[in-house]
Amino acid sequence: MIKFLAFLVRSKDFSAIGGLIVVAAFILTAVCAPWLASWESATKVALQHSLLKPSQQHVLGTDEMGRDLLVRIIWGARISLVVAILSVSLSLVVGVFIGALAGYYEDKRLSFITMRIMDSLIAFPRILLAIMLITIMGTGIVSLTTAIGLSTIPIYARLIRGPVLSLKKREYVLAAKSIGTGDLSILFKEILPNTLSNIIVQGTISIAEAILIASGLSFLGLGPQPPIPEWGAMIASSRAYIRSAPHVVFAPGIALFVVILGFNILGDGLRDYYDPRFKKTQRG
Amino acid sequence: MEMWKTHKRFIFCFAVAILFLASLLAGNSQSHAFTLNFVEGSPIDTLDPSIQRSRPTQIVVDHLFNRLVGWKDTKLSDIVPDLAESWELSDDKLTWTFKLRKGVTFHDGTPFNAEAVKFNLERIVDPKLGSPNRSMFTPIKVITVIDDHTIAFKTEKPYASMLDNLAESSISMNSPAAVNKWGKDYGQHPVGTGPYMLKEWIPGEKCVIERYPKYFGKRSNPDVIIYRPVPEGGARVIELESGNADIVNRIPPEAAGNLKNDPKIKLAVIPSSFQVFFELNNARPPFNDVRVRKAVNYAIDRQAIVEKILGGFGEVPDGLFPPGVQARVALTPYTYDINKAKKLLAEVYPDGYKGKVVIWTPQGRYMKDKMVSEAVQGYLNELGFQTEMRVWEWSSYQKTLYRPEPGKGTGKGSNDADMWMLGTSIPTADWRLTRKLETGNGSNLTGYSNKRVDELLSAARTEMNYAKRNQMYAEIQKIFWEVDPGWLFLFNQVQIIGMKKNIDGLDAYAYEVLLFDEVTKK
Repeated sequence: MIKFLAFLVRSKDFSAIGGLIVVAAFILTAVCAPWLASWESATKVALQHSLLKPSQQHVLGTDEMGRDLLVRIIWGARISLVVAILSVSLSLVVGVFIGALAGYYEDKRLSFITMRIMDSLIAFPRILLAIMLITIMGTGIVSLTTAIGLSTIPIYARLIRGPVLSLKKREYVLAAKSIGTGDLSILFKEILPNTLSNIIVQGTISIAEAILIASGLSFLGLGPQPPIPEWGAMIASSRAYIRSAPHVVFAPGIALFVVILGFNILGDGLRDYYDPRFKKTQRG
Repeated sequence: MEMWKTHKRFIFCFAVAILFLASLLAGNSQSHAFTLNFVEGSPIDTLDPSIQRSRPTQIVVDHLFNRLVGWKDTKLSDIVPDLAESWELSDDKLTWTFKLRKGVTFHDGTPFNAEAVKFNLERIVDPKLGSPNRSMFTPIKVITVIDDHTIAFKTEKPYASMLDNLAESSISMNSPAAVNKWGKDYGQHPVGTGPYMLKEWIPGEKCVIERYPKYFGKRSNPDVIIYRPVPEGGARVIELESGNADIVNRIPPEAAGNLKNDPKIKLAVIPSSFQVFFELNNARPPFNDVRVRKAVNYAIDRQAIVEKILGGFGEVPDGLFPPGVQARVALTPYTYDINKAKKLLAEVYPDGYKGKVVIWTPQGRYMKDKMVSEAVQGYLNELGFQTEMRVWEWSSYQKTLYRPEPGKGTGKGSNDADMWMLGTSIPTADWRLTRKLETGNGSNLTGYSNKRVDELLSAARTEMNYAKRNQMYAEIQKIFWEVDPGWLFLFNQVQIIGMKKNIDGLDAYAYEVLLFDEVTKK
């Protein structure tokens, strides 16, 4: 982590540093939400204060139900973070497992079939896949997370298979095989650690994508139901007031924009860090 | 570049030819027909008048069909002949004899006659059809075809609502030949006697109706009417502003301010007999206890909802019937008294209600329906309830709520939701009350059952004295509003209709049906 920071400073990648700061702020806000503002103030309806412009009392103003926007953005961050991390973890664990096995046992028919299934799933638009899954499972945070997670599995499967294919021919793998180490043990102890860089980079970008897809689905009404504050859903409910009270639409919109951009730039920075061509600036 | 030089002349002639053809085509698509473009908020569910149950759909249906009798004007001041020229009631008040109009044909060419009337009346009471309006016509026990143009209905007891109910859109006269031909699919191939016939219907996209040349009545102005559903409020406003639509219904309140200043557009704000409410599941806790139902009625700040969410385009209700409904009485509005509500609730659940209250709301059907539901959810949370909301799209919402099999939808003792938002604009007292308040009625989803109300409803139906009838309806209103409320009352709607400045002659009924036959476009 420190080495990464040092790398960024040395290569003068200020946008990546910015991305890192944004991501850190996002995670911090999301984690500390219960201490920053109460859940009650995020969901309690107070029509007398609806659509107030930003002021000292309400830093970002209030939404159409009279709830403080800043508080709702903070809690929305928590929900976005939870959905993103859980869904990416789900797809990561399952996808890496499938891809690693398919790569290691590449000569088996099952691997071939599995990877072709993964290929066809990737060709399918992810949002559509997620919508189909949510229609079956009903709306809510759990189904949102599961839908996004399941639709991202093929990406990790494809990502890992290539490196595993080439890594399994390395000398240390052959050496391990020769002393009788089990296949799974080789996979997890020798091969996968060397794919960690790919996983970390893709993971960061996946989180950005997950946040975007989640807010897109919530915008369509397929996410957590009211009064749960989710950035996409907040944009959808306040759409009608874009002319009279634009701050209600722009606050969650800008939050989404900044956070997703932050994760993407961070991902780019990580990719540069792990790229062997940058070896000179890496690790001193 | 070489290609250009050698083939310059050819390319030039080709381009001119294309432009010429394009101008011909453009010229052809300009027609001299008066086409009226109408945009609504919800899609049509079915064009079968006996099963459809939404006012937006009725707007189209009422242009395709006629009934035996109709209302004289938008004020419902009197019943006038439609397909029946005249009628008389026997001295014992049990037999109604109708003389039918001669020379009327259905859109498919088949003749309208007494047999057709008998067919339609038998069809609507057939339980297999599943008409929500069945019970309006079950009092008719014997139907006698006297000759091709004379028919008699006999009831067991005097039926005071006979004419009111025969004026209802649900008993529009369908062509028996068409119904038999299309069976289950009749809803997509409606055939009536009305001034317009169906040309094309793409569900969810558009419905085109065009003039029926052999219509018996006064010639209507538009040649073609196009109905397009645009569920999104802001998009409807754009349809009006861009000139794509001539008339747009359900203008959202926040757009009304801007539109008033638009020189090309005018707004009509029309009172409505529509009341919006949450039906409460009377069949299970917590709303099976009348004290809890009363409590939630005191827990809502209706004034705030009307001002802040509806932008002032709405009314806090002062009774079960909005102004304009037959036999209405003004009662005491519910005040916003959260302490009184908490006290009432504590009588039933001293430690609070531990379960979850499931709220269902449609989106895009009633004015600001989803937002109002969110506000109500907030007030219920404040009262101490844990709530869960589900937002529905209108067609699937209707289908789920009104499933004909008992126990598979809401109410009727089944347990899918505790409260669901609905509204009604029925202007006649008997039907407005019977379908929702009478024990066991097919449209009574809440399971509400009050013996006195049932007694009064039956008595009123046979009471031919108008004043006495109204008194009975007044008592029912008082019971259902104050003594034994079955619903969480919300607000009375107001209609905001936008149209181009050059449009005139729109007939807007308080029950939220629009008729376009007299519309002119300058």
